[in-house]
Amino acid sequence: MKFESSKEHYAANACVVWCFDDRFYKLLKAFGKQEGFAHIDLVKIAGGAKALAGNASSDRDFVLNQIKTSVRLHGAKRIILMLHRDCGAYGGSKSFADADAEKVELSKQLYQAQELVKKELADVGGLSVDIYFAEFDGLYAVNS
Amino acid sequence: MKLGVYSLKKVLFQGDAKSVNCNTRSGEITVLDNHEPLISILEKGTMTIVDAAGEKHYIPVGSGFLEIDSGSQAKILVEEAK
Repeated sequence: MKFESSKEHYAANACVVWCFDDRFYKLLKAFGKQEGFAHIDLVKIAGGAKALAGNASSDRDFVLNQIKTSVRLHGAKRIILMLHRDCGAYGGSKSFADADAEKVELSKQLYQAQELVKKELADVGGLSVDIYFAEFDGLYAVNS
Repeated sequence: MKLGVYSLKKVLFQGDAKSVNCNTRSGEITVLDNHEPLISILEKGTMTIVDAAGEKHYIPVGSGFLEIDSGSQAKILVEEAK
């Protein structure tokens, strides 16, 4: 396949940690358009920010290193962490008592992930760490 | 906005509201019409709702959860403060 890719280096508008569940890929594209992102560093992995909410693990270190690399190489000043409804990494919606319980639990997980990233990147000035819950009807900012 | 506030036992408020003010994990917030979709964990405090007629309603909250959807509908689940 022939395709021309830009040779220009770029500054990333954000480093985005997003689940690889393809049902939410169009949502990411729409969100990027709404936010006016020209370039993002996308860390697209199973479970999205889940690895950042758990105890120390190789997965957690990997995701943290990806974020740090985005900040170092592309100057990302905004980190976006996402979890979503019916995520297989959590066993799907059926793992929770009901829809509200799922949202509450995953919001708490997002808070944990956010706290970890803020702590790990405390020396980076002007950094914002924003957390989002993806639903099938849209993207919800989690107040933090 | 269309607002519903519910505890396990009863409906605490249901109807049109101009604003709702509550304590969240990161501090006090006030939600008005056309707020962006938002979810938040509520913390202990007194929730203040201003209804469509301008009347204030106060609800003591022990903990809870707030959700605002893109259609300016807000749902709040609370455990009432003792």
